Amino acid sequence: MSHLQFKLSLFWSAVISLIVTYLFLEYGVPYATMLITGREQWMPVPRTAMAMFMILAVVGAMVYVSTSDEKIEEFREPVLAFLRGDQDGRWSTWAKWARVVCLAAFPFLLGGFVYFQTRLTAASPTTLRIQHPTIPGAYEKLKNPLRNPDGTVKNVKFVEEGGVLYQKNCRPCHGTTAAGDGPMGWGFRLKPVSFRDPGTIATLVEAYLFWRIKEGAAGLPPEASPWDSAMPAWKEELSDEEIWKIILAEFDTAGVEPRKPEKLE
Amino acid sequence: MMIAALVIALLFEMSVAAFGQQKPQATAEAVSKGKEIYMKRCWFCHGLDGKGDGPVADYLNPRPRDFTSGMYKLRTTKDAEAPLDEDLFRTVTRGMPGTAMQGFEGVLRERERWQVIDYIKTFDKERFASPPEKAEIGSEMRGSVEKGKEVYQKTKCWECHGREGRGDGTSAAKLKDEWGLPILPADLTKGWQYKGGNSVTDIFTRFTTSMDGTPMPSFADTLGVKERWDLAAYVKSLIREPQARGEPVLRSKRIDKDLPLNPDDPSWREAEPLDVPLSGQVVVAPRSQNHSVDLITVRSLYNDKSIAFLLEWNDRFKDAVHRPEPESHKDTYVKLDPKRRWGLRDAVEVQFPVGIPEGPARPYFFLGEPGKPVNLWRWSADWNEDPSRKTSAEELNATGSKNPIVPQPPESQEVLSKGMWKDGLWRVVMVRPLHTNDQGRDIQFEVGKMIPLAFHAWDGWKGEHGLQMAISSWQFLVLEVPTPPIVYAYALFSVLVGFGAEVLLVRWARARSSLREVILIEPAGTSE
Repeated sequence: MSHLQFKLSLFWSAVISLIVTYLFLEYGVPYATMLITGREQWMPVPRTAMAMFMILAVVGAMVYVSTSDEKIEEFREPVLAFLRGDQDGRWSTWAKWARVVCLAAFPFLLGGFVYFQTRLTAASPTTLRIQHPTIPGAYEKLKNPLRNPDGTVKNVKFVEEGGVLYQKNCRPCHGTTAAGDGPMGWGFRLKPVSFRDPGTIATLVEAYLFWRIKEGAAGLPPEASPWDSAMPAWKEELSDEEIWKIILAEFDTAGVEPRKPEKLE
Repeated sequence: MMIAALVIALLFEMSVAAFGQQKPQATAEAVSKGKEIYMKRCWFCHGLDGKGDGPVADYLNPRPRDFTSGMYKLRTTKDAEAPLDEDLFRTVTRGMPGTAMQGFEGVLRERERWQVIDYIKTFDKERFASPPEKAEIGSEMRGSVEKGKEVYQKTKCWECHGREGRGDGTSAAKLKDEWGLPILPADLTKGWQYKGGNSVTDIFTRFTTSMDGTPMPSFADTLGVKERWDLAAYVKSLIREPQARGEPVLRSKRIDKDLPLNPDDPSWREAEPLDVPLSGQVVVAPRSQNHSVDLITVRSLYNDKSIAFLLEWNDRFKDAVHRPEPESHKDTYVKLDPKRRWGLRDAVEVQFPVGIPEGPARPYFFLGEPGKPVNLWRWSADWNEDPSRKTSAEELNATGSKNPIVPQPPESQEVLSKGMWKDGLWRVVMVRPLHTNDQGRDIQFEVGKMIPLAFHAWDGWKGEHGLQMAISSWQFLVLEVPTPPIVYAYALFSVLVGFGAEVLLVRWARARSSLREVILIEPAGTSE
């Protein structure tokens, strides 16, 4: 096997490593994230994180290259050779032309870069949004009256009745199986929450859900961008008991348990 | 070797998952397990007795399948045959796009899906008594789009599906399903609504097997295999995928001529389109989840005086008469009366805040809210057909869905508009001056600023009026800033600097190399 190996010069190893790092961040990580989270879309690495990782990679490469004078020299040699050009008449025609093309293209690439950077463009405003704002005091202490003190449901009928209410009123957006994938989510940029996601209702006490269902988008504080949420304020149409039933059904449909309120004694 | 073995194992796993559906035996235990699942996941729509009459059924169009009828849309069996277990499995797994039937993959395990199918089959045991005969589908053949188009003409697919495939054919309005209820032919341009999937093989399968309960016939006897693959290729070519949902930014392009009021004007080709998805209005009662318009393609142009928008959306029928009847809605969602015919118009609306917001806060995305009004430009088809009107658009203001939507006085009406309907496509242009005298009621456009805008649409044929409509989230409009000359100067300057730097570098490298040669010639030992 060893006779097949050839030594890549330090310069090209550095260049290839940086390219591989970039491709990994640009495609590998989003793809892996998609597989891990089970979502359908790639989850791109944020540009700022990307810039940070790339800077780290470049610094890493520079540190490695500068560990010894030989390495510095080995790294610098192809660059200098490229700049010097063919002084001894040993280059192939192809290499000579490649050098000329690269040298000629560089100023224009630079010019293009400056043009695209200084040209005025508008990007859509991205705002940070708090997904779980603090529950108002009036709701904080509420308990689901349809559950026994040990957390079990008083009557299975409540779950079934809640299921009907859920499928009629909530399913269009939150989905048949509460995966946040109902057909009405299609037009909304703020996607309906998936209750199967372990980061949503499984981390919340039932009083929180009661608040969210009752007050809807209109009850959200500004940091949770209420202007973009399509969540209805169900207090206008559903009774408190119906809302508690829906909450039972949500956990049942999604196959998760509510968080137990902390005991402060 | 290890990696190769792993990859092969993985591929094998995947192919088994995709194709190798080995159905376990339908034991009494499987049926009772299936019933448990049915009672947890399915009966809400399909009913306790499988009759498709669950408590949610009356709100859905298409209605949930009645399992006692033994009729199934999605089969790979011959016309009039029952479906294979694998067909039912595929539907339970993938769901039916464009309907309320969602896929259960990832929620029900494979075995559970087979069990629920065993239970569903008990609703009509006779139908499944003998094994059905499989249709000849075979492996996919490459069809010719051009030949498929000829087949589409010859077979008169256009009678229902329309000349451009938008489901607007001449007999589309009269179609009835097996139960005598009106049914619409598929809009073939919307790939996301193909009930049985939109791969070429899926499409081929549909017109080979027919779709039970619908007027869609089987062409297995009337068209040859090659012809059907050609047709499948053509139908596939009609699909227009919505633009990838990147940034929801509509860039209005500046032109130095008069803005076109005609949707056919070639100037529109210069403008970059934005596809805006719409959902049913599910925010306040009366909610509607059977909306018709789920995509509007928008373009915008502006000049020094005015701004223009071109809105295009598919609508099978041109509804230009408006005779609304008083109605009372007491329910959370609109209950459907499939037999009812409406005398309602088509309409579309663009919504802006009344001022460009500073900071992230905006009025509520659906009709604003008290204290945060929105400006609406409403185009309606009945006005469009009325020659006595100067324009078919009206400017209004809303302060939340609970409050009346107020038209602006005649002197404030400045939106000019024109709409055209052809082959199942509405194309509407609206033009307004960039600035008006109605501060506080009208949006005032400014170049380079992010201006929120949203869209509303009504399909009269579906009975949409008032709050029963399709709505979008906030999108953003930006009037493109012409590039100032200084930017070009910067770019040119950079080119020169880049070139200069290169010359210096090459000189330096050459000087260095001669220096190095000098050093190399010197005897060793000079360096420390």
